[in-house]
This record gives sequence, C-alpha cells and structure tokens, in this order.
Amino acid sequence: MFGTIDISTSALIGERQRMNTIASNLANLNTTRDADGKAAPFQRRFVTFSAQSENPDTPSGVTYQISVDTTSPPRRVYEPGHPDADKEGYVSYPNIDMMNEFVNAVEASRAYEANLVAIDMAKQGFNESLKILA
Amino acid sequence: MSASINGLGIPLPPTAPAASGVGPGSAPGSDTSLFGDLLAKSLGQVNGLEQSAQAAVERSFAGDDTTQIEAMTAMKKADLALRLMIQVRNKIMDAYSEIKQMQM
Amino acid sequence: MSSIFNGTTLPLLEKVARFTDKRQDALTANVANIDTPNYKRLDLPLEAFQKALRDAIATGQSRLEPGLSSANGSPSLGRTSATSLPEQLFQAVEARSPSLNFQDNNNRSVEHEMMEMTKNNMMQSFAITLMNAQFGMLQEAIREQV
Repeated sequence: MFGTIDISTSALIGERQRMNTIASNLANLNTTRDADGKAAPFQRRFVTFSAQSENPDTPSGVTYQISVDTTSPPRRVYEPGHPDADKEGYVSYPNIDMMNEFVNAVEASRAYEANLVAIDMAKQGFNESLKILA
Repeated sequence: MSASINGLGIPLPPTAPAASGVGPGSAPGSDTSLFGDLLAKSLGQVNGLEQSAQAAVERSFAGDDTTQIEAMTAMKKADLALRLMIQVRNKIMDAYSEIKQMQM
Repeated sequence: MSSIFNGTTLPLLEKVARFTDKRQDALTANVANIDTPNYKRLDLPLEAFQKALRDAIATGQSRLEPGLSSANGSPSLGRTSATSLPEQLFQAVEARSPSLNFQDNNNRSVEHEMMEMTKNNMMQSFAITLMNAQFGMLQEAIREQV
C-alpha cells in the first residue's frame, strides 16, 4: 500500500546522506591527518545513487552508496614549517573544492524539497479520494 | 421471492398483477412479472456490486495490487445501487398499497 | 442479530483500524526517541498482518454461509468474519530499519519514521472512511429510506 511514499522516502534518505557527506567534506577541508594521527589527507567522500530495481515496469526508488574518492590527487601546498610537510616541504591537503561542494549541497537540498512536495501531493491525492465516500 | 443482501432480509412485495395496469407501458393482460423481474434484476446487480466492493476492500488491505481508489469507487457504486433499489422498492410499495385501496 | 455484520467488510475493517491504532503508538515512540542512544525502534510488522489477513480471507472462502449466494448465480466470496487474528500481530516488536546506523547505536532515520507514520495514518483514514460508508449502507437498508 502507498508505494509512492516509499519511493519518495528512499530519495529523502539518500539526499540526506548526500548532505551529510557534503557537510563532512566541508568540515574536513583542511584535514591533513587521519584518525590515527598519521599524516594522510582526508579523502573526499561522495554518494552515488542507483535505482532499486532494474525492471522498467515498476517505478523504483533509490539506494545510495558512500564512496571514497581515491583517484583525485591531493592539493599540495608548499609549507616547509608545517609538522605534516613531507621531505620537499609540501603539505598534502584534501582535494575538496568548496564551490563544488556548495553546488552539490544546493542540489541535494532542492532534491530533498522536491521529494517532500511529491509526498505531500500523494497525501493530498489520497485525501481527495476519501471524499468519494464522504 | 425473498432474496437477501448481507443476511438482511429486505421483504419484497408480491408481484402485482399487470392486469391492474401498474407495469409501465405494459399492455393490459401482458406478462405478469414485469416489476418482479425489474426488482429481481436490480437486486442481483446490487448484490454483485456489493460483493465486488467487498472483494476490492479485502484485496486492498491484504496487500494486493488494488489501489485505494478502486476500492472506494466500488464501495460508492454499491452504495448508489443500493439506494436506487431502495427507492424503487419504496415506489413499488406505495403503488401497491395505492392499488390495494382502490375500490373495485 | 450480529450476523448482519459478519457478511460485510466490517470485521476486516475493525481489525485494520485496531492494527493501525496500535502501530501508531509504536511509531510515535520511535519519533520521540530519535535522539535516545541505544534505542531500538519498535514496529508492528505490516507484512505479517497482511499475510494473516490473506489467510483469513482464504479460509473464509472455504466456509460459505448458507443462503448467501447472490441472486444472479455468481459464487459468493468468503468473509473474514469469524476469524480472529492472533493477538501477537497487535503487539510492538523490535524491528530493523533498512537504513543508517549512527554512532550511538540508534538504528533510526527520521524520514523513515515519519513516512511510516504517514502511511499508517493514511491506512487508518482509509479503513475508517470505508467503515463509515459500510455503516451508512446498513443504515439505509434498515431504515428502508435513503
């Protein structure tokens, strides 16, 4: 029953997780050490969405997966006095582009709102249909 | 005849003889069960609609593919058919009691 | 005298109304405990309830009440009347949520809880509206007046 709402809910959960990863990326913009304290720049996280079912006949929701961006190289800044500088004096900062993250955040937030509207429409449609019997 | 809907016995009037001229458009002396047929047919239809409405509701809650709209429209159709039948039956009862009072 | 209800959708709708009512309590508790550490969400499993309904409908089909066949000869359908569902369906149990696990061992997501609550509420409105319609039909027939 009410499968429409399930579909929108999966999207809401996915978009929220996307917002979470963007927030963690922004929080770790300048993190040069990992959780153990060793000098390793924070790897950017990102979320990939995939459809829940491949069957074109049934509308499907989304599932998300959080992946770590291991391919893009870190941002190297010449700071010889930094405790995490390597032998040549370069510090590896996370390759997180603030503007990119902002744009993604706006898009995720709009998608979240759009799915909320979809749920609201489903509820309204249902309430209208209740009037058949009123 | 005494068919019942949902176990409720809705008493039907005995079929009025067409010779007294109650059948709409019926020639005097034609077949005697015009109203009876009409009522029996509508009774069957009401019963059928009622049952399909109940089936739709059952399917809808038991997790099958029936949408809520289907169940609600089926219920409303059954409701309207029942109302129509009740009105027809009341009119028949009125006509019959009126005829009974006619001095012959 | 109560047999006039057994032939209708009313027993089924009563069960649904009771189930959704109990489920609403569990889901509200989940939302209230959104920030409670180590809270495990409660739920009344909907699939189990729907399966029990399906079984009750099927057994109802094998016990036709005499005299209930329709006037035009089509086979009459079973009713979920006398079958009562096991009481455990109406009790809250711990249930997995299909999403995130947070640091504090709480397995909830506020969207999931709100949406389950919304769907539950809609199902309850649906059942109650149908009940009203069914009662209305019975009243019309009894009063012999529209």
